[in-house]
Amino acid sequence: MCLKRYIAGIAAATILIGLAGCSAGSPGVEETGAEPITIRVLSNADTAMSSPSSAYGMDYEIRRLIGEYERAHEEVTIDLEFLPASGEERETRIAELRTEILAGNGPDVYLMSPYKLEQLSYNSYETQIDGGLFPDVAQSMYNGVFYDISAFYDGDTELHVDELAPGVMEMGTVDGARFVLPLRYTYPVVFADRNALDGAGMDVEHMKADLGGFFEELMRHADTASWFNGAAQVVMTLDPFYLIPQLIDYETGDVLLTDQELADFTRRCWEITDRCETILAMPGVSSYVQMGWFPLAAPGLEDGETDVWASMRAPLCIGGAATAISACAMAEVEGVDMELFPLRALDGSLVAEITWWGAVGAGCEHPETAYDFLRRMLLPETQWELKRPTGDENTVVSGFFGSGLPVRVIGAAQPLWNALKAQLVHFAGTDKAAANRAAALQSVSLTDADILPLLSARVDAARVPMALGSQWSEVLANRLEYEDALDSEARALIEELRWHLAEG
Amino acid sequence: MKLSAKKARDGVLLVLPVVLGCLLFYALPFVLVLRYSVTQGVGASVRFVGWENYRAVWHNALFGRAFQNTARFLLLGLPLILILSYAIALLLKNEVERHKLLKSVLLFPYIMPVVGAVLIVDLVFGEAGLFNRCLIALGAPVRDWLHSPASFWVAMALYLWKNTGYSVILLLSGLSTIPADQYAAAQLDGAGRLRQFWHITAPQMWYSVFFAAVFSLINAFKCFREIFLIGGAHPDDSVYMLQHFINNCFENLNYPKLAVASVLLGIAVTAVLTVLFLWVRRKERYRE
Repeated sequence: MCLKRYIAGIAAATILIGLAGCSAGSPGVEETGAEPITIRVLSNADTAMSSPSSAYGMDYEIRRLIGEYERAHEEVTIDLEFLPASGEERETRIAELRTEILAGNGPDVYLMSPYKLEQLSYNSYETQIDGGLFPDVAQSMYNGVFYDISAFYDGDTELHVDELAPGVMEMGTVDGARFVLPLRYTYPVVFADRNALDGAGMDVEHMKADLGGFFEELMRHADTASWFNGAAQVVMTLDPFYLIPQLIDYETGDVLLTDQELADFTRRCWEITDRCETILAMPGVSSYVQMGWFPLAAPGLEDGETDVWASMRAPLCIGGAATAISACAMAEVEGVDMELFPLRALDGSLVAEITWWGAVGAGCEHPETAYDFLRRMLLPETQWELKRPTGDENTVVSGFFGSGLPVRVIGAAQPLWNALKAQLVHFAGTDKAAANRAAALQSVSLTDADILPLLSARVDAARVPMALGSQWSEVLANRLEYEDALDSEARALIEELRWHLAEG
Repeated sequence: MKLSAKKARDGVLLVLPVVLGCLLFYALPFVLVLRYSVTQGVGASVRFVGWENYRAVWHNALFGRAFQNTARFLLLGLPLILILSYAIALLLKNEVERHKLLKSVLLFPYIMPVVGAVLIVDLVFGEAGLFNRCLIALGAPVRDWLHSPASFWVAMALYLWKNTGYSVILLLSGLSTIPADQYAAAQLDGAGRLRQFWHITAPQMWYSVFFAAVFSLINAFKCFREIFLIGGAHPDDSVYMLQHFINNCFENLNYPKLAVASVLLGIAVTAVLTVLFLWVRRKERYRE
């Protein structure tokens, strides 16, 4: 009997010690201001729209900021974690993070993109919408996963929040409380040769009005294949829902889109891509589209050569808002009188897609410090990449190119173009043709006036892309496969949206 | 018989580790879930919202569908499995002692890994499975057994196949405690098998049946794993269960909904088991 008592006593003592251990705080996190503070930052920067093997885009800025912040604040340690790119490791980590967030021990700061880079094969990658930890950021705001930083943000006079894109910044609020800081954004922009538009008799104001007007003018007046080559890009996007702004009402939990509207929208998009595909099959026609892409992707210029591709240049193409900066420079070099305007959604509204966002976790024990770090992502030096290295072996390509326009868009054109210009020379390398192209671009100066149509267009709404959107981009891109079953596919997707709202 | 203070103290000390473990890993989490069900937000952002979460979930059509499907599955599955396992147990009562391997054979489906069971289901009910091939051979149209309303019956068949053996083992244990001389006496008095069952077997088996019912209920909820592997996070409407709802709420980081669904499920299960237990205790009162 004595032995039983001793065994029971030891077992009870073990459990009590275990209970006491469970109640201890996380290692390295102290409670008083004078003690060391650890801030956990979670990002998917190096698996978003960038090469996985190089510091590129936002992950460069994040690492730079962390180094700077830790040097300036010796008592603060910032632990940076990148979500694994894919596979079981990623699924396991996401499940762990969900549990940590539930327990109030989630990351302190999120710096996330809605995209991820999926490796398809050895050297082949594809950007996809990341539906992992946050399948719907807006819904997560309603679910109380993020800290309400209104008190910090509203009182942050040094941030000059009035200079940030207003319609875009509204995305991060619910009933006036701010939970998310949009950092970068994009929306589709039409780049067109003004002379070609006039020559074809296109009503530009009708094209600017909404997506329907844009499609109608093309179908009515486009006389060559190359019009459609450029326009088809509007539907080859990861989240087509930005063209359908009235999608979800999170307050009432209703899906505002009907399956009939979705099917009709898809058929109209197919009319455009149909013309594009037919044209690609025609011999002697190039699908080369010159404007809008990374400047050195355009063919180089041999010595004394003028642009031999000018005759095959597409009169119109669609790209992200961030590419407007380099597109304007290219148009100046090539002597093109360029018309650029935002492509508006079906109802005429301008809907932006948030490409990077930041937030403080709801369970953060040091929200003031976390916000103090997070706000630096909105400062001009980060937004405009003023501290990016240039001209040496460690030069990285300008991040905004793949990351979207900075929300501090007023005043952005000149510094961003200067940062990109400095890197073009380095990236041209020893290729003479590319170097000629880079040299030609050095003479171009850009200011906000060059992208005024974008700066003067107020964003009506902003959205972080949802994973469900990528399902519909699959349908948009494969007419042959989905044409017969379009109505049932549309019904299935609307039903999935309802499930998403009911369960989220 | 009154225990001495010393024996009582020893008894308490002996059960203390298990009780503390249950408190730590069951009771405490349940209290936390109750807390989540009446709050919004996590960590430092948590705030009390009263019955708001319950109202939202109560009016949630998807929750209603999941609750209905779960109730339907249990109301059909539990009586079926108990009747089936009881019948098999009665048939095997005398054979089990002679054939020791029989118990292992009965338990084989129960111990089969989930993935193995799903593979078998796919082989039999899949698009190119055995059933459809038989239908093709007979000239009948094929069916999508796994992604249509028929998937409810596939899930039911899987549940019965996997868990009947386990319930049979539990009931056989109960049957083995009934003295054989009672049956002998009844036989001498001219009682047939039915009357022996009604007057001897059934009255002494209520606790065993209750025990088997509880485990069958637990196993019914475990069926979610197979349904999830077959149908994914959003299977056919007919097999969308409460666990799907709870699981998907977790993935969408909606912890209040998840907590409310768990609490309502807990209340429903507790109510059912309480009613069952009280009824069984009434039946077994003759022993006192």
